[in-house]
Parts: sequence; C-alpha cells; structure tokens
Amino acid sequence: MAQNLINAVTLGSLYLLFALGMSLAWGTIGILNFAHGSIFMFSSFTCYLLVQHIALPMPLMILIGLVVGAVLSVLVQVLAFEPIKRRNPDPHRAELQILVGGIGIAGIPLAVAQHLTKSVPFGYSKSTFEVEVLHLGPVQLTNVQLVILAAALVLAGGVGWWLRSARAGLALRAIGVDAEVAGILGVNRRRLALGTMAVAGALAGVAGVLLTYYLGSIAAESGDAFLLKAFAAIVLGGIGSVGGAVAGAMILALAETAVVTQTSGMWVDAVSFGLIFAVLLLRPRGLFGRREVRRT
Amino acid sequence: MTDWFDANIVLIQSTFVSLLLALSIQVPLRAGVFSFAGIGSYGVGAYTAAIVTINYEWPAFAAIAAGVVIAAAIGYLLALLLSRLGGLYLGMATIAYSLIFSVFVINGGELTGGAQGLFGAISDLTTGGVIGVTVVVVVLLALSERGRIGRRIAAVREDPELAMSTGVPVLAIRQLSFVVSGALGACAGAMNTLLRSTVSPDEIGFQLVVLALTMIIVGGSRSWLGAFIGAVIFTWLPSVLEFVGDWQTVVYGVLVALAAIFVPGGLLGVLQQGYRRWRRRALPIGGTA
Amino acid sequence: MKIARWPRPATMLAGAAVLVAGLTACGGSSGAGTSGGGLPQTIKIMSIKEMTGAVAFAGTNATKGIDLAVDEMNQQKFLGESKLEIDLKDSAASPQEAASFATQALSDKDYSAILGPAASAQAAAVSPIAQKAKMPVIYTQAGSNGVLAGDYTYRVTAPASSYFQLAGEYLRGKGVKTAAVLYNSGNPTLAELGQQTAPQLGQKYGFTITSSDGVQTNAQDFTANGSKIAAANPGAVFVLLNGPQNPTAIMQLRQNGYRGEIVGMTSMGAGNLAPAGQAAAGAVWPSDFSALAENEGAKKFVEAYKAKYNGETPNNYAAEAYDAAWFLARGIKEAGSADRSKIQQGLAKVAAAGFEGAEGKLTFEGNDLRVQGVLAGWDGTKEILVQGTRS
Repeated sequence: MAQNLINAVTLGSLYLLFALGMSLAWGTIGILNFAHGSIFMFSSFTCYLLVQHIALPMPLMILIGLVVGAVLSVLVQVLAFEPIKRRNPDPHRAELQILVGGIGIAGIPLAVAQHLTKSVPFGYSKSTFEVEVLHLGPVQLTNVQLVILAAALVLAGGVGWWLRSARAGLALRAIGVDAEVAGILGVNRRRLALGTMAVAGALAGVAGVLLTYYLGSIAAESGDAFLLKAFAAIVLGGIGSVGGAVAGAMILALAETAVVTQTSGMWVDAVSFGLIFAVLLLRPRGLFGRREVRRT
Repeated sequence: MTDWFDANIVLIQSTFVSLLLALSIQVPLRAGVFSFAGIGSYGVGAYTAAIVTINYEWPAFAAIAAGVVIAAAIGYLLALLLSRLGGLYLGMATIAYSLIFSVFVINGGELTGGAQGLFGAISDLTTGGVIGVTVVVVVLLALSERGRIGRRIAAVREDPELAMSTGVPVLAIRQLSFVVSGALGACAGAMNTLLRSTVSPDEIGFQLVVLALTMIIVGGSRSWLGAFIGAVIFTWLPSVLEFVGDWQTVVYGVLVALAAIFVPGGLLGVLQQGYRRWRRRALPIGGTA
Repeated sequence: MKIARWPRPATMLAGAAVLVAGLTACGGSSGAGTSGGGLPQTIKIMSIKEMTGAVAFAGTNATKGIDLAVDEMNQQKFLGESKLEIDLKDSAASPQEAASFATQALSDKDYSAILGPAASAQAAAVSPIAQKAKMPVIYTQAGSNGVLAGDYTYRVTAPASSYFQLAGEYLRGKGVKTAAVLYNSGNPTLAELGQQTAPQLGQKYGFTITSSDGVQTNAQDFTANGSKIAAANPGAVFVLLNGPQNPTAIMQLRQNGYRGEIVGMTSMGAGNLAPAGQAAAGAVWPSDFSALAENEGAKKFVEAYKAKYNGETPNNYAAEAYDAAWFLARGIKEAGSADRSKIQQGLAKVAAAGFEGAEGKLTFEGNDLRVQGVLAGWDGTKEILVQGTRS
C-alpha cells in the first residue's frame, strides 16, 4: 500500500513536470502547445545521442535535457506560434491554428527520432548513473525516484513562488488576466511569452530525461502518450494554476495506480479521458482554476 | 482510364470517406461549435456497421443507417451535456469522448473483437453507393451554406448574443450541429468498414482527430469545398510523398505546420482570394486611370 | 437565391485533383502479361512492408531477409534464367495504404504474387481483396484471425502458441509451481498468449496462474504491476509485452525485489533487452528463430546474412521473411509458371511437403506455418541459446 503510494507520487511528479509548463503557457499567454510531447521526447533523445559517445553523469544529462527543451520550445514559439498570432488577430481562429500548427510540428521531431532509432526504444545504459535501491522498512525507493521527487518539489515550488512574488511572475499573471491591459501597463509581452515557453520547454526536457532514467528506456512515440495525460491533469487541476497542476497530476497518478492495482490494467487510459470529460462536464474550471471558462 | 481507376480504387473511395469525416468536424465548426465528437461517431458507425454485418448480415445501407442513427442520438446527448462549454474546452471534452470510445472497444470482448478488431464484414457496398451518398450530403450542405440558412449559421458563429436577439434559434442550431456531426462521422466510419471489411481499435484513435483537423485547416474551414480539398490532399499525399522515402513523415509534418502558419484560410481561402483578385483586375470599377 | 460563383474555383480544383492523381498513377498500364506455360524473364512480386512508422523495425528487417533470399536464388539460378523482381511499397502502418497497394498489384497483370505486411490490421485488410481476386499473398507476422482468408493467403510465421510449450518444459524443469502473467492486451498475439496459452501451459506442465494483468499497448509505467507481482512472489512471470515495454517491465520487476524466472516472447529478441542490461539476465523466451540455432538451415542463413550485411546478426523478422521469399520461389518453381492460380497450386504442394529454411524444419498446417521453435535467453549482455531445435 505504502509502496503503491510512493510509486504513484513518483508518477505524479513526472506528470507534474510535464504538465506544469503546458498549463502555464495555456493559462497565461493562451498557447496550447501540442508539440510539447515531442519536445519532451526529443530532449531525452538528444541526451541519448550524446551519451552514446561520452558517458555522462546524470546531473549533466538533466541539464542538457533542460537546455534542449527550452531551446526547442522557444524555436517553436518564434518560428510558428508568433507568426500565427500575427496573422490571426481573432483569438478563436488563432487558437485553432496554433493547435494544428503544434500538431504539424510535433510530427517533425517524432519522425526524426523514429528514423534514427527505427522505433526501437532508447535508454541511457551508457550513462555513468547506476540505479540503487534503498530499503526503508516496508517500502523501497530507488535513487531515481528520489531525484524525481526532489526535482518536482524544487521546480514546481520555484515556479509557484516566482509567479506569486517575483515581478516578472506577477506580470505574467497579469497577461493571463487581460493581455491588452497588461501591455498598456508596460509589460513586455513578447519577452515574457518567450520566457514562459522556455521554462515550459525546460520543465518538459527535465521530465523527459528523468522518465527515461526511471523507465530505463522510452520510445519515439512516448511523448504523445504523455500529452493526453497532461491534458487530464491540467483540466482537472485548473488551467494556469501551479497548485492546480500539482493537484491534477497527483490525483491522476493516484487514480491510475489504483485502477492498475485493483482491476486489470486495461482501463488506465479511460481514467484520464474519463476525468477530462467528467471535470469539463461538472466543473469546467477544474479544482483551482481561476479563469472563468468561456461560456457559449 | 479504367485501369487507373481500378488500380487506385482504394484511394478514390478513401477520398470520399475522408471528406465525410472532415465534414463531421467542419459543420459544427461553421456554427462556432468546436466539437470533435465526429471522430467518436466515426468509431461508433464503423463498429456498428461491422457488428450488424457480421452477426446479422444486414445489407449495406441498413448497416450504415444503424450506425448513423446511434451516433446521431449520442450526438444529441452530448449536445445536452456539453451545452455550457465553448472553445477549446468543448474540443477537449469531445476528444475525451472519442478516446474513451476506443478504450471501450478494446475491452469489448467478443462483441468488438478486442485488440484484434473485427474482420469479415463483407457487404454489398459499391464505390457508386459511396459516391452517391457523399454527393447527396455535399449538396445538402452546400445549400445550407448560402441564403438565409447560411447567414443564420454564420451569425451563430460570429456573434451568438446578437443572433439570439434577432430571433435566430442559436441553441437549436448548435444542437443540430452536434447531431449532424454525429451522423456524418458515423456515415464515414460505417462506409469505410464495409469497404475494407475490417475495423480495428488502432484505426479510430487519436490520429483520426489529427487527420480531420489537418484536412480542414489545410483545405479551408469555411466551406465544404475546403474539406474536399483537404480530403483530396491528405488521401493522395502519402503516395505522392513516397518518392521522398524515409523522410516522408517529416515532410508531412512540415507541410501541415507551414499551412497552419502561413495559410490561415486554408487552400480554399487562397484560391478564393486569388479568384477575387483576378476578378477585380479583369473588371475595372469606376473611372479609368 | 444567388447562383454560386464557384464554378471557376471548382474547375481549378478538379484540375488540381486530376494533376495530383495523375502524379500517382505510376505504372498502371499492363505489360507483357504472363504466358500460360514457362517462366517469363522477370517475375514481378510486390512487397508491401512497413518501412516507416511505429513498426518500421519489422518491415525493414523483413526486407533485408527478402533481399538476401532473392540474391541467393538469382545467383543459384533457382528459377532457371528467370529472375525475381521485388517491388517494395511502404505501407507506413496504414491499412488504407496496404489495401491500396494490394489493389494496384491486382489490377496490374505483371504482378504474380504479393509478399504481405506484418501488421495484423493491414494484413486483414489486404486478405479479402487478394483472395477475391485470386492473387497469392504470403505474410510474415500478422498473427490475428482474419488474415488467412482463403486458399490464396499464406502465413510464414508460426503462431507463438504452437511452439510455446518450450516455455512450459523449461518451467517444469525449474520446478516452478506458480506463475503470474503480465500481458499487453492491445496486441492480439500477446493477448491470446496471456489469456489462453499461458493457463493451458500451466495445466499441462504443473503450475497455477496466480495473477493475470493486462496492460495497454502504450503502457510505459509498470511500477504498480511490478510491485504487486513482486509482493506475491510467484515462481515465474510471463512477460508478454511489446519490444519497448519488455526492458522496462523487467527492470521494474527486479527493482521491486522479484527473483524468480522470467519468460517472454519473440519481442524480447533482436537486442530489445539491451536497455535492461544485467537486470534481465536469465530471461528466456520461445522463439521461432535464433541466430545461434544449431540446425543447418539457420547456420547457412546466418552466415549468408552476415556476409551480405556487414557482419550484422539477423533477427526473427529477417528469418521469417527469408523463408517466406524462398517459399514463394519454390511455389513458382513447382508451378513452372508465373500465372497466379498456378502459383497458388504450386504453393499448396510445397506447403504439403514442407521444406528446410532459416527457421529449421518448416511444415504447414493448412496455410499456416509450424516450426520446432527454439528457446532463446538473455545473459545480461547478449542473446544466448537455451535450448535448440529438436531436429
């Protein structure tokens, strides 16, 4: 029981790192980035390519993943989403175009990775890191799990504090409430948007590297599976809220673990989809969402 | 010519099926309803047709009708449940519905064939039948795009409050779009299953959502014509890209991304703009230079 | 009501559509046609394989096996002066594409047979078309029902359940009394193995199935399953998952303290366990082919494969496709003609007699292959042979 709890919290931490950036971008600058999953996978893949040649230690791998994720995310923002927003002043149209643009772009890193791996999973067996299992009474914990929990705590806590206290964080929240007014008040929207996408990408990159260490290997298609779960977590928790992302990710992970251990594992996906549907039906703004959901 | 027709019959049939699938998303979009329930309806139609054909040997049109009726009913139910949602939230809720359906179908045991899916749905559906149904649908939709009906639907999309105040039945039109979307999606799914004689869970997953969206965005979301352009392109593109070899998926992704960024009105929008510019040049207005 | 102004755009569109369609109408005209008796100079075969996409691994390796076989038979002049020409089409894991290529092959009189795709969904879409048009099609992999739709469809990959008793014998030898099953419920072959074959083996070889957990095709996290199974501590675990899932599941099992036997499926081969490294040492799996097998057919195949492909070791996908290509060649030789129905008769005769190939002694039950099977294993760094074929 306690073991399951620890495993579920670890899974939830990974979901959190992945979903947090996405929720932030969506809640503040209104960008739902469908390429997020691909960025997540490709950051991990880049680390894999590097580690094939040089045996790198885990902290460095995480750093590389972070940087690659940030860079990719910013590139997507500059090359795709900004032009779309420029050409589509109507926010509804822009949303749709960004969605599809993200889908199109998501295919590119996926295809590159598939081509180079021939869809065989890739892992970091050549890294200097060794998995160690620690026994604490009735439960066991691997050092990977510790790193994941620590990373989630630090990064999510950091982002939450920053949004609440730092000037740039407040400015970002202002954009989320009303972009026009924020602009009039002197907020540099473009710079903050780029920063937000960079942070989102960085978080995804870290999540990708950690997931690969945790599972031992991932495949090129692994990014898209995470995308749908991230939706569930974000919708459940409420868009644009760090606390919401934490709650959503943890609840999702706990629910999935419960389903796997109590029933057959075949209904796991139904949990995330069902949650999305149920939340949108009953409480569209999620648990901690503050923005009012657009009515008809 | 008939040789080419025979050799490519699968792609030709697929174009019409894809057109109906694209329309199942485009029609609600026209009314401002961001619903992907058409994809779930595709699955409902596909499996219903397979089940009644394999188990009860219903003729093709009866099987298709069965799927359409069930999906339309579900569409109405969704309309009632999700009436308060808008924009991307509605989109996500309907995507969730479509994906939940595929999970159900995988776990459906004997009835849905589980992971294997169903095979052996041999039926008397001809290409002519498929084209006939599609043409009828398109004609009806084209009629609904002009005149009073067209303007009313556009009003519901652009400014629902104003539309309501001028007496346009906004709620009814919205609910109708859900029902029509369900019918169209199911029609596409049922016809595809009866043509291919098989259906499996992988066919009705998330990639259908992606396919339908890209067809509409690249083709143009304002009219059935855009959906047609999108259907033609995305059915025949893999064959055209074959010579690119290993990198065809990259090229595919790049094309979709470029279309989304640079061509917001879709190819239809480009063609219409070009046409208008041509007309303006050909017919000078007012005084000479 | 305004008359629509769209005739112009519509005709532009129609023109564009015809143009695009014209670009793809390659090679549709009928060629020299096949004569009644005697083999023509070139015998054209269409090979529909997944060369890109999620199962590219199967398609690319199968193609290597086919190419090797064709090289050999052309060199040996197996079909006299006639040469086999393989036309490779990438179906990219889409049943639509596969069905479309098959239809193209049918309408083109130059094609004598089809070497079909590996994915069950694609194969099930191709089979009714091929059977109806009386075009011989030979599949590898494609393990679900509905693939063998009649006497023109053959499958040269033995169903895993037909040689899975090797696992039962192994477990009995190890004195295993309890076993858990972890299977991929989204894959027809694996689901059948998990839900039916494993319990049947249990009855025959003296162990009981204590738990049976299905997971989804895209499941990546097995910590919950791993800890549940490890806590129950059965003597063996059947790990029946896709290639990418295997190393993860095994690592999770071991990390949760599980120390018993691990039995898997062919998807553990081809180096798929490398990411798990030492954690997977001791895992075994029944397979239809191992590069280390002792029988003559396998040894010759491995040697020829390494010579052609720079020392690369072949895997079961390549071996199966190699045998499929040779099966086709023998069928053509038996028929003495490139005519489709004669080839089908030739294939039937070859199938009845059986022959020796890369997978050892090959016999057919109906249109479905049967092999002796081998028991392969992983020693922590590479694949080993635990038990060879009993020939």
